Amino acid sequence: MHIPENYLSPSTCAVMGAAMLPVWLMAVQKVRQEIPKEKLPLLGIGAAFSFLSMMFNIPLPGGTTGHAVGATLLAVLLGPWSACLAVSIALFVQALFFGDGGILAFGANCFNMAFVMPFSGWFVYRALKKMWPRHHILAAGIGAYIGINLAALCAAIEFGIQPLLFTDAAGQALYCPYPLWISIPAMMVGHLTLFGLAEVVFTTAVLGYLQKTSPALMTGAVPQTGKAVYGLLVLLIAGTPLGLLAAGTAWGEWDPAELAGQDFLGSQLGYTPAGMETGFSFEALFPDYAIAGLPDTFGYILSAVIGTALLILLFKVLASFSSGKTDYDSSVREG
Amino acid sequence: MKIPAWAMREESYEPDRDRDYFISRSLLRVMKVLFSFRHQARKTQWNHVSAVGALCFLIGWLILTVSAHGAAFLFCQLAFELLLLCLLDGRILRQLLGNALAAAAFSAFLVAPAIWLGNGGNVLLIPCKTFLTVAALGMLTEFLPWNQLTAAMRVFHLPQVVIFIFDTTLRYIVLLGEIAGEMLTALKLRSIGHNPHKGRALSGVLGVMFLRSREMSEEMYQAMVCRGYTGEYPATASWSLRRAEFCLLVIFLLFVLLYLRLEVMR
Repeated sequence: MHIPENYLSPSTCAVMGAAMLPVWLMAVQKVRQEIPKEKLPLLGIGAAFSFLSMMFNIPLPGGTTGHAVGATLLAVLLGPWSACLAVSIALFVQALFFGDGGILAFGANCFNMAFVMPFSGWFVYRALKKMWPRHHILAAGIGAYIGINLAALCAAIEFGIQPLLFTDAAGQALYCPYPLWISIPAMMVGHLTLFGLAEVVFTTAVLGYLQKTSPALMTGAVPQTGKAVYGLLVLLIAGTPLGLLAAGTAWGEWDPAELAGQDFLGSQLGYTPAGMETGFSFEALFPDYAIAGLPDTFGYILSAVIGTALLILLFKVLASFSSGKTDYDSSVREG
Repeated sequence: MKIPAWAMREESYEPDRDRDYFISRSLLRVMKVLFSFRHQARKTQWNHVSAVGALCFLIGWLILTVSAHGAAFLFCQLAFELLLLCLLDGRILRQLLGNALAAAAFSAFLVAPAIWLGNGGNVLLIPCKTFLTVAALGMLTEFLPWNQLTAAMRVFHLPQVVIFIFDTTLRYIVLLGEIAGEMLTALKLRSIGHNPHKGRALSGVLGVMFLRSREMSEEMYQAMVCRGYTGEYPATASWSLRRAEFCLLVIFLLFVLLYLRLEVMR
């Protein structure tokens, strides 16, 4: 679901970025007001979870791949505003260091995965939790499923409107060449089935595990990030090479050269859109989570370690700047 | 009781504004250094790693960093250092990362002409190496108190005098810092109104400190002689391989293997 560079026109990117700006400002304000300083590093760990879950690629028959995002999980654990901020930063690290998702398309990617997804997932979760208070994990699962599908739908619409709005004199698309009637089914087939299921499994499994091992996390008290959470992180990092088993490229994330040869739904494109050939390009430090000179598996694990550590460090440093309120009541309750 | 008239009179003394920031600033600076020394000496979290093991690891680690030619190996080192950094507290991290990034930025500034002259991206490895080395050193001093580090120097057969001077310097920075702090506080409390002789005030503080330090050093030397000091620093307790050191050794060997794979056999 990571929209790469030049698949969206610069004007679309600008609109999406402008739409995200007030959301980010609001999120920063809300997090500052609502999240106690002690809980801020937890946001980093949440962002690391989301980062890692996006490294587990799942293959779909037909050669494309996809992944879970974990945004609804974060929204359930930390609230939607914190989830928005954490996923945005995870996406930023991915775009900047690993070339996953474009720098220009950062606003659009954040809109889909850091705004639409956690908020829709969280609203569904909250509504269902009111109806069935005893089955909140099920509610979170359904919220996650709806969240990822709405996000995929948004991404599909962003892809699909490109050929309607931006074409050259010959009628060829300048950016993403697939119109709505191709992009929506292509994106939704995968997300309604396998990737949606992956998101549900990821969300419910992690929630179930955390409920058993550190229930304090679920009740909203300031928790001690214990061995359970770090253990889960290590397990996920060690498991990331599983994501390499899926060999294909995700739908809508091909290189320009790969795109020209795409034989999608029987209609070969046959040209590379002009906007992609001449567009903005950015060299990430470790493109595609690979490190030159190292086996792919090793590079993948190393990227996972570097990404996770960067996110945790970032939020730890941010927490040290915040002079947020300390909740003395909680320590009194515990003591 | 009858209060005399002069005591009843309202005080209307308003001192001139005086620019005595130098007192506050030097006081703050002294306090900061003292705080960091105290904080440094109190660390107990890494008790199970001996300073000798950690120092040996650091030296080997730095040699690998400095001699690497490719980005791949440095990224592996970066991953390990970032993992260790995650164990530190946010405030310490801020300082440590700030120092390391500043050093990296400075070295990037120094090598910038080489990039313009067309020496390729390999020049950029130097700022990366600077970051890695400064962060590694910063972490060592964060994880281990300085008194253990000076004690560990004995194992590396450094001359006795060097260790003695180093150890005494560190100790005396704290002792004299306390005196300086007290005197600056006293000066601050007594400086009301305009002080026309700032030079005299400051040189007074420094002069008294010098005299005190001379007295203290004589006293210390005599105390040491009384306790049997003959100019020899006894070697630290015999050093054996503990579990933590074994882990460090395994990690180091892994990195040596990686180094051979990525740097030597490429």
